[in-house]
Amino acid sequence: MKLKYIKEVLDELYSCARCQECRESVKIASTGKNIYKVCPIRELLGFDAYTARGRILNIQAVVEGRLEPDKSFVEYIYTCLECGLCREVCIAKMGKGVDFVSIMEAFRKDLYENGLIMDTHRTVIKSLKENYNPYKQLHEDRLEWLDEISDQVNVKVGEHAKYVYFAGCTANHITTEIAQATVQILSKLGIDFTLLEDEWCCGFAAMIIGGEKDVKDFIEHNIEQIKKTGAKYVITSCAGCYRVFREHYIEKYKADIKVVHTVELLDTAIKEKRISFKSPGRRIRVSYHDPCHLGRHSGVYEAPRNVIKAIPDVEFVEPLRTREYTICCGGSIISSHADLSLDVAKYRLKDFDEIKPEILLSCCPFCYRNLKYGIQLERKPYEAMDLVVFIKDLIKVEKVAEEKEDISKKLASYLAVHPEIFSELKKGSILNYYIAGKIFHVEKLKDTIKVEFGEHHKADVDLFMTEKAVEALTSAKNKEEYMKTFKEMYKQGDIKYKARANLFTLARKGYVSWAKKAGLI
Amino acid sequence: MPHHPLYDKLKEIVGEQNVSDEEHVLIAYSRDASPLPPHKPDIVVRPKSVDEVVSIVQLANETKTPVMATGGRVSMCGACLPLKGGIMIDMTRMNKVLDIDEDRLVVEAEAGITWANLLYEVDKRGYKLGYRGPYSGHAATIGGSISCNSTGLGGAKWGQAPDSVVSLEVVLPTGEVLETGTAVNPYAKRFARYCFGPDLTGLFLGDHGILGVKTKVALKVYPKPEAVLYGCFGYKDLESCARAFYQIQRTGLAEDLVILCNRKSIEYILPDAATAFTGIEALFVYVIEAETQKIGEAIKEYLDSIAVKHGGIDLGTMFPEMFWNAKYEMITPLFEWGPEWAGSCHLLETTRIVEATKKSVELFKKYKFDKFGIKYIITAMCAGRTVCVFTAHPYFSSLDKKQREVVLKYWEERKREVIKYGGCFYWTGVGLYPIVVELLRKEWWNVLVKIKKALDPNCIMNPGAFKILGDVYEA
Repeated sequence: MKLKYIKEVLDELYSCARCQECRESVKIASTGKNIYKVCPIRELLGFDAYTARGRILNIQAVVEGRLEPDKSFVEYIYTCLECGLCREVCIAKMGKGVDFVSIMEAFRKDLYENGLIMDTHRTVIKSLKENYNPYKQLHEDRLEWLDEISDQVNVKVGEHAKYVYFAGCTANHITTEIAQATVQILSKLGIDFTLLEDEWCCGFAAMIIGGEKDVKDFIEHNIEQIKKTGAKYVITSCAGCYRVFREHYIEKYKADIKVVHTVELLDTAIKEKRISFKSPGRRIRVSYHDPCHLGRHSGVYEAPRNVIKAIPDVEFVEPLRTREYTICCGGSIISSHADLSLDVAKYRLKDFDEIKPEILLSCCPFCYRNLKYGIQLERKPYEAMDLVVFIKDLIKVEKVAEEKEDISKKLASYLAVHPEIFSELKKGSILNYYIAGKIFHVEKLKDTIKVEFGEHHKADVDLFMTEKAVEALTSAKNKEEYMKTFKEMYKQGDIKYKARANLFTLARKGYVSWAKKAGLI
Repeated sequence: MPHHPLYDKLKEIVGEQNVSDEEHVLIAYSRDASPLPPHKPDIVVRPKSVDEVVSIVQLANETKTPVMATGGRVSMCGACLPLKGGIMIDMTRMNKVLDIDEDRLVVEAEAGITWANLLYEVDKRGYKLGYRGPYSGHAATIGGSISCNSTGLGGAKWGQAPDSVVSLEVVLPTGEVLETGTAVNPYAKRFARYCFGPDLTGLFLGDHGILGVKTKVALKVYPKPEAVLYGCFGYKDLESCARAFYQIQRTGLAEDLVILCNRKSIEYILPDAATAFTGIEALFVYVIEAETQKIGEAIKEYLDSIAVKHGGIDLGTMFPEMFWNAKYEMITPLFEWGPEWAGSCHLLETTRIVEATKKSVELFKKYKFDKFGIKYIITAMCAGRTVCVFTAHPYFSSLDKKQREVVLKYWEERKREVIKYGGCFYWTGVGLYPIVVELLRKEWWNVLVKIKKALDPNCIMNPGAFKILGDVYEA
């Protein structure tokens, strides 16, 4: 077997110390959330061959010439969900973790180049080439869903607009209600958007197999289509499309566009007071499943939660394993291991048993579809629904009165103009501030800082402050006074902290010096 | 590929889902956390009950097939490598807490449970373990750790892994199930270890799986403390630091106590701290767990006074607090320097820390670690009141051939040096068996062989460990 791509990530491949963190994670325990199993495939199939460590040992064996891949090995490699949970919990490399997703993606590219894929994958690739979608659906049928709602919305197709709505293959052909809900929402918000005249698969279906080379022209085609509309923004309701646009269209192909998920758009509209929501008519208990490609792969956790929490009479409950520790829905392996894919969905649904939601929301057509099948098979007493479908009739476009400025904003504004307070910290350091029920975070950039509202899921340290502490800190005239006040407030118990990151990570980011100045040590 | 000759029979015992001879499964079980080359088993099974373990062992004994039970497989020295292939028993499906007896203060669990899970389960009920597992405790199982005399968290007060063991259930190589401690009395519960005669529990502790498969373990538990307090002190020289460390250790009041033995170790592990606290050549952290805050504060005041008396500079509580809360996360991050390591942690009198540090540094210099960019830590943690686990680990990348060559050469010399200066490895493994057999007293090995022969006449359990194969029975 000829190897090319895996050789580009040998450093990652050989950075695994075989500690088994990818089997059960204490990283989760250390955040006070219990100890969890990590890989659902390992839990379902049992053997450690299915952990990241087991897979790395196998790929190393191929690289070292001790193993020649055969059919059974190829099937084994394609049982990986590429969900990234093992990378998330890995604490090697001073907490950064071994980038197992990159390893698997590179290795699959090599398998693909060598023709070592499964028959079901060949079907997908054939369909992509013939129909521009992986589902063997006729390309010309892709906008049938639009006909069904043409009396309610007037949607542009292939015209000039500020935004492009990229529906994606699954919403175009399978879960069409997501595409319909999205255009209804965008229309309601008065957004100037268009559909592409000729939308092809974003490339995700081939990339997950390793067949990136076969969708190069897909990406170029779609970029050309977007250019024609003059749009600078691509909106999508699909987590897979979102990640592919971000990592490939924008980062790799340097397309001059920005991609936003519909929930991000809604979150911004809420923050800007441009929309609010009406009650669904009764109290409803809902939960949310983080799609891997929107959450772990793209870092979007807050937007969907902000949207859900803004709806009156909706009670939001988090599942046991959530945010970065979410278990995949199994959707990514449905084309190659359909039964296992559904078993993963069923395994994931167990996380919702205790919290008993009526509706299980998500922001991805793959997740919606797989969780829905899982719910049907397990006869769960709740239903799966995409968030855009859930809220499409609840949006109110109206002016909302400005809220009185809260105390957290006072500190956020103060810190924003005092970046010198964080001068000891290295680039990439992130602190969450919890004040009077509000949260904001400070991220250290190269020479300055960024202050944003909302909790950062990758924060190193959480700081909890009373209003008294905020008043005192914001009275400080300079850093010296600020640090002195900080020390006093900490001693008085008006400031508390909780370290999220490992001690080693903190020591590398300058927190020890910072904490010393702040009186924490 | 045809299946392993025992595949069908093992399938009958554990079910098709729990037996595999597929190549990718065997490869996944071929290495532990040591830098030693892979050794594949021929087939892997995942039993769920003691009955299944009995059937597997009986089958292995009848067919004279090597068999090895494993837990987390995170040994640093090849203790989990099946030298002669055969059946590998992955014990991690046997991971239940069977009973927490709140009157007798004993937890009984299946041997395949991880330390992290066990700790969590007893914590939920308001209890704590004494020894809390090795630093790899989220992967390491209690069965694995007691089989290699593991050391680690909580060692200052509670000693090594075997020190907490009350009794065992062991499947012997010939298939009989042995109970030890008070459980030898069919009318008694598991509440004490030493009774009726010799300590048969101890026979299986540290046996590296050559005498039987541990299926159940009873460990002591203690009421969870109301107060947890911390201390961290830096010193201008190792001598003062080590003196204070020892004096605090021998009080028996610290739950955990860890020392960083030289400036370089501090710089490597906590670079920012090294910058923040100039002039510190060595430091230690301690943890106190007490019944009440008042007792805890009194202990802290006392321990702090010892630390200060020897010239200690108070570095605050941030490091020990994070160290104790992170528990099992303290070693893996260091693999940033290279995921392979040459471990030589061993038991040593705490009073010899300074001497051992000097020897370590000399050997690092001899092998020009700095020149080859090899980073290391020199540290010690406690294992009882006067004993420490002295550790000098270099880290390297297997992609860097020179580093690998240098460190592996160093490792061979280091292992011998440790034994020769009176250090005692609590664990062994494929990387140590020949040296142990060569350098330790022959009578010890001869008795070990006799016991092994008596219990395992066909030499099926972990053959090759301690250089014991069937042919040595005849010799």
